[in-house]
Amino acid sequence: MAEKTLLQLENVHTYYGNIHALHGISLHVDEGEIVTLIGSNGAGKSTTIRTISGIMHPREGTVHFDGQPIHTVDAHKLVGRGIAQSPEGRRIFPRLTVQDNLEMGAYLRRDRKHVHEDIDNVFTLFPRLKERRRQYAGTLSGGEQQMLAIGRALMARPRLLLLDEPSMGLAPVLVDTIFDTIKRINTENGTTILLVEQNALMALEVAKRGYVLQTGSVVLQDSAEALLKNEMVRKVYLGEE
Amino acid sequence: MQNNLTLLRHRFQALPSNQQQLVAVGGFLATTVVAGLLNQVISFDLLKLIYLTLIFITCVVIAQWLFNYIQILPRNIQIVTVGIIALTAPFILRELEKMTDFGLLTQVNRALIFVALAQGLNVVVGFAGLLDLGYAAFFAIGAYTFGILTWPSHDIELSFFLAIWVCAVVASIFGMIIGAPTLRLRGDYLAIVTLAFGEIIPTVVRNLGDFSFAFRPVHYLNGLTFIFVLFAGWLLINLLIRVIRRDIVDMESLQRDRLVRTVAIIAVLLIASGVMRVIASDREFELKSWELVEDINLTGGSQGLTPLGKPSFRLVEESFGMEKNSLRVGVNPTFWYYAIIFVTGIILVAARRLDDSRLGRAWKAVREDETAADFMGVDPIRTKLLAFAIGASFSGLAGAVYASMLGAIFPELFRFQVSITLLIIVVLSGRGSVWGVLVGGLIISIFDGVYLAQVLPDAFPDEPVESLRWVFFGAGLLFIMVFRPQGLFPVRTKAREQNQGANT
Amino acid sequence: MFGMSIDQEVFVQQVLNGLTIGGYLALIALGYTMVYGIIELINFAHGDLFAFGFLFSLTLFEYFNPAAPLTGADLYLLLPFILLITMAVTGGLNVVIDQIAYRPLRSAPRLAPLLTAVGMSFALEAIFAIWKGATQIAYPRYFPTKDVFREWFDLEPVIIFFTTKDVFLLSVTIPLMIVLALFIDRTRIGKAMRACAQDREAAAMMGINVNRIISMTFFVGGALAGAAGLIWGLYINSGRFLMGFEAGLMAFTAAVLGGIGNIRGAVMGSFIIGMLKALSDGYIGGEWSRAIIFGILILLLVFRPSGILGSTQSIEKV
Ligand SMILES: Nc1ncnc2c1ncn2[C@@H]1O[C@H](COP(=O)(O)OP(=O)(O)O)[C@@H](O)[C@H]1O
Ligand SMILES: [Mg+2]
Repeated sequence: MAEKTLLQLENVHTYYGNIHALHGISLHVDEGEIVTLIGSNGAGKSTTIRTISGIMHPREGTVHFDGQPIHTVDAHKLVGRGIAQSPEGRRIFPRLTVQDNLEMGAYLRRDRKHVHEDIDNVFTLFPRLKERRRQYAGTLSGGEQQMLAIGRALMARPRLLLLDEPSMGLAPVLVDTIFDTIKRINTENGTTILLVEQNALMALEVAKRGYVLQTGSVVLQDSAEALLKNEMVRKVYLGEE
Repeated sequence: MQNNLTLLRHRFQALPSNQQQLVAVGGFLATTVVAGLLNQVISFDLLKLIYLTLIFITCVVIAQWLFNYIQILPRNIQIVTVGIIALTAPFILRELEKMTDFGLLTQVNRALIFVALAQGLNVVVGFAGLLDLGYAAFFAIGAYTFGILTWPSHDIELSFFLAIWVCAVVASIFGMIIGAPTLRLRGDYLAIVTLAFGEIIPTVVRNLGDFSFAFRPVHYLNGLTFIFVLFAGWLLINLLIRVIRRDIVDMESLQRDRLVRTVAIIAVLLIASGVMRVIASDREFELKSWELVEDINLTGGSQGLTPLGKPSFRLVEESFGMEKNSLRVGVNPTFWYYAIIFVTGIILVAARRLDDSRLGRAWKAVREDETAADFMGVDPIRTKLLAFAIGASFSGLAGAVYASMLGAIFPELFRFQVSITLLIIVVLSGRGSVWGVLVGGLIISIFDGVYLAQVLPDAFPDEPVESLRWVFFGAGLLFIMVFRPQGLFPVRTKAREQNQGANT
Repeated sequence: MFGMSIDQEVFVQQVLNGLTIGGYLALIALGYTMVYGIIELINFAHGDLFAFGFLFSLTLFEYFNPAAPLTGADLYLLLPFILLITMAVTGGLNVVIDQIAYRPLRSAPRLAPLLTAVGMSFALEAIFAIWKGATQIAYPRYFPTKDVFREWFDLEPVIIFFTTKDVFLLSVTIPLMIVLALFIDRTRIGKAMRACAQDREAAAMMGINVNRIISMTFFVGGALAGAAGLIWGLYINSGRFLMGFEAGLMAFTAAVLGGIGNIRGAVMGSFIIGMLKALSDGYIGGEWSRAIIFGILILLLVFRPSGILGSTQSIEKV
């Protein structure tokens, strides 16, 4: 596989007002990879995602996507360049129908025909959504909402898909389904994925490489297999003695 | 552009607090001058305007410096310093007044009344976090209670010294009456209901002069019937919508449905009786309008009430063998200054003590998170009700004194603009800060009464600048909210936490 | 007419009045509710856009100076043209107001934009007073008035008046509302507006330019208020710089009554308020109408805190 760097963060510092949330994060994601960010609550995983997707801007450091600097570009413009995400807490539009939510995911696309194909693709990926396509998204169950959030992000036909805790609050069976789907999205569409997870074991099983975050800094980076074997990771994130 | 603004804001927020205040106040005034220059009037006295602007800035800076300095002094020295400033002020002002022609002392008196009012609003908005857009209603209630109690034609003529306390009590009762039904409402809806009350009170006051009951029962019933029909229609549609929108099923809406059903049954009964009435009333059945009572003039309608009671010292005069009415106060601003300082002082002390009290902490708990406060054993309903009652009593007291000082009241005095001015004072000064609202209230009221109402029109005699005062207020508010969302003189410990809140 | 008694005719007349009042109120209320839905701001300056529509369309009419009442091309071409221009300019003004007064405060405490909105409202009123004077302004009787029942249907009611002006008012307001509803419901932009109302950040993640959508919302709301101003002018034939405050308060009450943020609710609330106002004007006395309407608003909010239709669109973010 050609190892082309798709996303590159260098020394990124991000703030919430006066709170210094990211203390110089550097990481990269290559084309076609699944990379995972793991770390405990408040480590800065979501902030990293928000910084990449332009919801927040770093006060220092750079973010490059496909060789272009993007750290000052607003979020809505990045979607057109190929970055889409399923944010933390799903954030689907509760009072739009499932169908409309998916259409919103394809907001910038003008190719109506392909959009309809893609909606059908999402429905084959998540058959449950098809049954509920005319229903308000707010009436879906947690798992269905998560599927919708992922499906909605896919509707943009992204080159880089950012997933923030897709397994949060889901029943174990569903978690498996979600991770299978992530894998499928990566292999079938060739979509590059940056996956944030607290469920480190699952994440490292699907990912090629991983970064471990602690209080806003990268403390460890390695291939997924190596991280799975790493003592500190096993102890802290996989909960082994 | 948004990014530049953010950058500027960060740079600004990195400055030390006192420099921030300077920049903010300076920027505010600079806007007014620039706005003035944009007017391109040739005939105005630019030098005078700049000169006065500088004086104004100097005053603000001194006030600010004093403010910062006084805040770090020990409590009793604080009180003595403030006391000395307060007691000697009229003499200094009198001297200053000779140099200018702004009626400074009168302006200060008005400003102090506004400070007292703003303190009451600060209890509601600042301490308890309840947005009140109709606060002038309590001001009106205080003033009108005073008017009704002391207007000669009503033959009550209660003494000033008694009447003002009655006004405070009446206002606080109204505070609870208005507060009670609104306590379950969320922020914006609370704002709307208070706004509605603020609009109702002047309307009622205007209509309670020279009123006589003259209902025409037939029409009246027709109208009522229609209102019932509307009501029932609404309930029906409501139920329909609930049925159609099966999707939203939560406990709360279920319970509300039960209520709706009960009300619907009552409504249907009422409609039935109303419809029967309409059928029964053919044209022959026409009652003439019945005059119920002779005319009552409670509030003087849109004319208002005048004259009103002034403080009188008959007892003192008699016991010292002075001539009758030799201590009559009339409109003497120095006397009124001391009277107002006394009342405002009481309110300030009360506000200070409330701030540190158990109740004060309860208010802040409710403000930050009502549910959490509830779990910690704070009764949110009681707490909020007390905020309304106490806030209202402050403005009832201030309203009474104001009414007496003016000697005349009329509905226009209590317009929506007054509520908004007070809110701007509280927000610009720093919500929840007693000293901040004192200093900010003085500065803003004097700025309004002297600078906007007198200096600017002087400098631009041909331009209607005074009517643009809201442009200045709006611009100032915008400026300060962008760069210093916590206000000019915020509570010290709270400054940081609010800063964070503002940026998320 | 139809064997009605005088009392009944009075009643029917009031209901008709209520419909027309409701019609123009709805146009204003929609702007309140849309803006609230999307940025949770009570846009106090919105009522003044209605006054602006009135004053601006009057200026346009004065410029073209057609003969009153309008006939022929003036009626069928000039009037729609002036309506469109008024809507466009009022909408544009609303966008500018948002850019100046609200946008810098998007991240400030909620109270701040609320207060600048009030300040903006007072400022606009001051500007109107300077522009056109602080007196009552006459709006020429441009629209031809014919009594529908008497002249078209040859009926002879004693009291009821329903004229071509009423027909005009309803035939402009109701289609506008329907078009708006369809726009919000069906179009891509309309859906984007609803998405922004529900979750602005998530909307940005979809590639929606949230600021542009907010501007569009302000534009549409302003345009409707501008249309209402022109219709008021042709219908009532008089107004003044402060008219926006009063009408705005009513419209706002209507929006709240229907559940602020809810488009259909705003329309329904407007017709209810219109009816209430007409009935209270007719049966109790105009001077009490305001107190009665606000009293009902308070009762409603106390017993049903989220309005008649509740919040189906935006307020409660799940
Ligand atoms: N809205 C916010 N305001 C202020 N601080 C925040 C906000 N969101 C997150 N933070 C802080 O930023 C840090 C990183 O948070 P986050 O990126 O959400 O962590 P994670 O996703 O790894 O759990 C935490 O210390 C958190 O307290
Ligand atoms: Mg997170």
